Amino acid sequence: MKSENLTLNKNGKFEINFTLNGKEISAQVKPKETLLEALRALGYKGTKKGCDTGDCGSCAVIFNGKPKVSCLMPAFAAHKAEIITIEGIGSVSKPHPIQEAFVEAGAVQCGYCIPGMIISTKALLDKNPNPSEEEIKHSLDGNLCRCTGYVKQIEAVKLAAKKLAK
Amino acid sequence: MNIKQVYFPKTLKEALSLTKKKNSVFIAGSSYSFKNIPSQAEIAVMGSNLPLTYIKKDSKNLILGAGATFADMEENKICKTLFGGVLAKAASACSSQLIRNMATVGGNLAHPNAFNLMPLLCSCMDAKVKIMSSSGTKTVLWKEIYGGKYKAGKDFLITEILFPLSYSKNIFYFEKVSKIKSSWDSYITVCFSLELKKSAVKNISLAFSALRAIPIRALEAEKKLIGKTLDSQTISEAADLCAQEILSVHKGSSWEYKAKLAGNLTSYFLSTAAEAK
Amino acid sequence: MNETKNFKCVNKRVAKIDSLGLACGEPMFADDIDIKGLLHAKILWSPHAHAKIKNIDVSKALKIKGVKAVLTYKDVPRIPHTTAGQGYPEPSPYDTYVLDNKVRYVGDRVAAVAAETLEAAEEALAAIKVDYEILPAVFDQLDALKDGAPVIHDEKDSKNIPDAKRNIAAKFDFEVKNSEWFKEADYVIEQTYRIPYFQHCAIEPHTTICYFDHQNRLIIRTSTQVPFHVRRIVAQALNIPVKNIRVIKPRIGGGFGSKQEVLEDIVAALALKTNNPVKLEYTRKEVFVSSRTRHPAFMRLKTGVKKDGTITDADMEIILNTGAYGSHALTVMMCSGSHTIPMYKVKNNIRFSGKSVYTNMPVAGAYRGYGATQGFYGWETQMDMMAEKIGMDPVEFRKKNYIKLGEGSPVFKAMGEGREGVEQVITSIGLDEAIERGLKEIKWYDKKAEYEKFNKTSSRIKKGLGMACLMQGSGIPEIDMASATIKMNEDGSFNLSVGATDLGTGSDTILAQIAAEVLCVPNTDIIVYSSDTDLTPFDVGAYASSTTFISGNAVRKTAEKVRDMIIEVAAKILEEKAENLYLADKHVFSKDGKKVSFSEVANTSLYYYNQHQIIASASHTAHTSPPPFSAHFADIEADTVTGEITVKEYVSCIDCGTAVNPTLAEGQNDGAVVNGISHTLAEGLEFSPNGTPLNANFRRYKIFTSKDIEKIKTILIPTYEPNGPFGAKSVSEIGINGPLPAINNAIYDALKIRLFEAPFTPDKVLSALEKKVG
Repeated sequence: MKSENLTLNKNGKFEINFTLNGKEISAQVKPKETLLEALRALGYKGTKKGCDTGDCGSCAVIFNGKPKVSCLMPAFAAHKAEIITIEGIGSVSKPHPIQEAFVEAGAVQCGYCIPGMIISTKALLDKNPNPSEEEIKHSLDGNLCRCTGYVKQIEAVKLAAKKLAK
Repeated sequence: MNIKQVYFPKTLKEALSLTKKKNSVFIAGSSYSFKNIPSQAEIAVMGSNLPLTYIKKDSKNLILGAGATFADMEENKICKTLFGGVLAKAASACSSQLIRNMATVGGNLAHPNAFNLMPLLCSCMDAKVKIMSSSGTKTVLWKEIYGGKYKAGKDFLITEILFPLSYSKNIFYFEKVSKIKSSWDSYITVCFSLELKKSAVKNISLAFSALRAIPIRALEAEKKLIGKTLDSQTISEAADLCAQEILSVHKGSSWEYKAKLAGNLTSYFLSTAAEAK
Repeated sequence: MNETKNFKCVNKRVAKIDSLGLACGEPMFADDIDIKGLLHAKILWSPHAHAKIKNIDVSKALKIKGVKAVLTYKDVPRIPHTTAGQGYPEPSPYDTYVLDNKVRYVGDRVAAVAAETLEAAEEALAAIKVDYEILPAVFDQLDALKDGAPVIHDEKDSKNIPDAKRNIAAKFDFEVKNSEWFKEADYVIEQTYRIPYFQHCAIEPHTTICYFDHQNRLIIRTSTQVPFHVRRIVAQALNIPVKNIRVIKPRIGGGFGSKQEVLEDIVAALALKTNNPVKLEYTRKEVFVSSRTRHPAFMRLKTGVKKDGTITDADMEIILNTGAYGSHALTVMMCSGSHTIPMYKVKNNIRFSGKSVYTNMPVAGAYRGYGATQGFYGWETQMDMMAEKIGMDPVEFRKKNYIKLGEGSPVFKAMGEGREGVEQVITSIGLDEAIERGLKEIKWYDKKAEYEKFNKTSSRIKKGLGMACLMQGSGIPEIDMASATIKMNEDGSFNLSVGATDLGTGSDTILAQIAAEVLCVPNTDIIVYSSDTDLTPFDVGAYASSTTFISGNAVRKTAEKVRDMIIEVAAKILEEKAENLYLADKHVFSKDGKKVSFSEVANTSLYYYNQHQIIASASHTAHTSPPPFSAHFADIEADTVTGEITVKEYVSCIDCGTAVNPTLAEGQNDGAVVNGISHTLAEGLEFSPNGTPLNANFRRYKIFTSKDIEKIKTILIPTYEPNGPFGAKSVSEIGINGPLPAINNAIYDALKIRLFEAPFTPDKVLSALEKKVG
């Protein structure tokens, strides 16, 4: 079977189709564009740019089931992929228990790292519903935070695990 | 960077025919490649759909598919148990979770860099690499993929990394010394392997990375250790030789510390192994 | 003081009002909006540490498709100013220009471009031709003071530079001499301490969007801690009226002092030139190099101590590296003494001699701790050294000497922040309890005995414990001012409008709690809007740990005025005298049990009778700056094979008066502590011999991740500060000052080595260990 391929259209962009937060969407992306830039241009402002070098994790999204740094990925790599951003996890009117846990535990200060933290947390708890403190720290080590010192964030993940267990 | 076409090949044959094209670039996990695409590249060949994500074992080797990620390696039962768990341990020391989820072992081996972990593991265990080109598949010693006129990701693709089970009875030691725990770089990263027979050294690998693009095996020290028992004199001499080997690469104050670490870690490893016996 | 027990809203762990939105990825930050026709700005930074721009040719850059403006020093007003976000007149040299014909560090501004795409802007940068005359450069503050050192600010029009020829951007000397120096001391210890370049690493890079409203006023939407200072200084630097500018602070992704700096001028200049909206987003590298950093410090501390534990003399000299421009040069330097020396009683003589020195290096500015971080590294290490010299337990030595309730210090009056300070005495202090609780929590004495035994037999790992005591300030007395406005709505809810700047600290929430406490409503009935120079009253901004203490008092006063207005209306409704009425639970009650709801009061005032809007404003400045106090305890493991230090447990007990929101107070302190541990063990900008930064990215400038922390515990020690709103003092800065000395002291306990140069990276530890053995 021939592989799908992408060719530049007359606007100099690739036409890609992918699943974003459960919805099928199409987008036109420039070759140099990172997945982070493309998502923000599509209006998904929850995913943040902190360093653009894959070191801070504030751009993390769930890509084909695994949390990855979208600033290192080409936008065209999203073609035929399944992506979940923070907006797909929960909203203010219908928050996910992980989001509620972060609020209750006081784990949100400036909030800039939080979408990425919650993405990593969701991926962790999906795979490991009852992680140890070591496992939590290990799974969140790609999400830099300068406000909280991670103390209440680790508590938030434990609280989230409890909430999800109910 | 001038990418005009993107392919997502599902078979190796297809991938190879694409990478042979002029101005093509192969992107494995994208933790490194996308931001380093050469300006003349016009065709991107994505490795994400290739059937190379397995980790398995046969009678001779532990086999890592080139598309397996560091996260896969870290969680894999075989990697956690064989070789004293050193493959899983090393994988968990790679950068951070988000990078481990993306970085492939093949990509890590293909782009030689002082801080990459796959070359270190391969160096320690004299691993072999299976490569596929348009003329077929062959298995070579890991080092042979560098420096030749045939480039990984262009003229051939790495399909498997093979760690010989003959090492599986050895004592292993992995340590990465860096300023913080989740770090891509380090002052020094070591992977040691030792086989003792009746308290004498039968087999020893002392591999050091974070120094040069290709890890350093302390061959002088290893040679001197063969057949010896691990008394404190022997250990001390071996440690000194390792330190000197590191200093011979480069002088300068930051390298003095690296050399010190090389010596200290060698000494610690050998003393601990001796005591355990 | 048991006032806290009766609080209904203050001292409660209410949810931070913006947390849920942030957790759901709501678009709340500066860059989270889309504006039609937005141009992208890029700045050309200097590749040289010190050079004159002999010629700059932008003609090719202007021809590039999509490029709308290219600015050089020829295109902008030359008005000396400071970028320091401080109250006017700013106590910093006016030595900065929007664009200049000289560059003074690698990363200094050369030119600015606005273009339709980032690619076009980058292309334009590459097309700008600059002829530099390279000048000799100097990188270390001690070298910059030497005869023959290159003069970095040789321009004629800069102002307020004490001694430009010697590169001195600020200096201050103070002495109290009661007897002959060191005469009474049994031991004299003199030691130098060094701190390198640290950077704040707020996860959101500096981001500014300038656009125009329907009246062609310039709107600056920016990630800032100081919206009002931004408005004033942009107006000054570009010579435009303040009334033509509106500054809006959205949610910001951390500041820690790096955004207490006015860098918006260049974006405004581009917007004005193109008449288009313009966005500038710093890259992470640009944040490291071209925003602001902590002041590297060289400190010399000479102290005298008697065998009975009396500190007889203290002679502190500090020379800060302020980098190429003198932003916060005087104030950080003064705080290194004013926030540290009063900590302990010094019997006879005190001397402080401070300088901030220009070098051709990145510009240092405000950073959490603000001089006290540098000062306490020296002081709290030296306290341990003195204790050891006289054979006294370091805990007892501190207890014997620290300032007590009701006591003052000659330093308070002599040294403020940029000018003379105010006379004050300590009006609240919980340091004794902080020390006791910390010793208990970390099991200090048990572990000391256990570790002494352990270290005798363990070969690779050694364990140790160390402590430090700290103070800070709560705002700048008689300088910092805050104001608030509260109005009442018909359902009994209130709008609270404050200039105070929430950087993620939760100030919106705690200010609502303070208002709610006075008005006897839940904090969720207070709708907060903050930091908009058009719509909110003045506030100096978030720095100097001033928000709770000063803005909080402004809110309290405002709420009290509104309360009086409510009572006045209720008095009419209930036909009662005002003095017989009180507020409780969204109602006004009379002493004999009559009541009227807030909504009835509001509707009456809005619609029925003597219609008026219940609304009031109030301002507050303070006459004192009551210090918070803290005791820090570190439990570390030292690896003698690699030199790595691991902090196994870190306990900090902080007296911040009443914690308006204990969860937020703990969170602030946790973050400050971990930042401190991180810079103690892993951080530092590195430079090439020609002043080029080598590790200006998160890959090579290491900050702690979740894997680097083990047990971190913040314990709040309640006291009641009579001058603070409901007893509150400040909390946000003090925590960052403890780790350097506490960990240094713990390393000494484990390895019997002291480190006098931060950070304590493994190579330094191993090297010190070898020197000791050898």
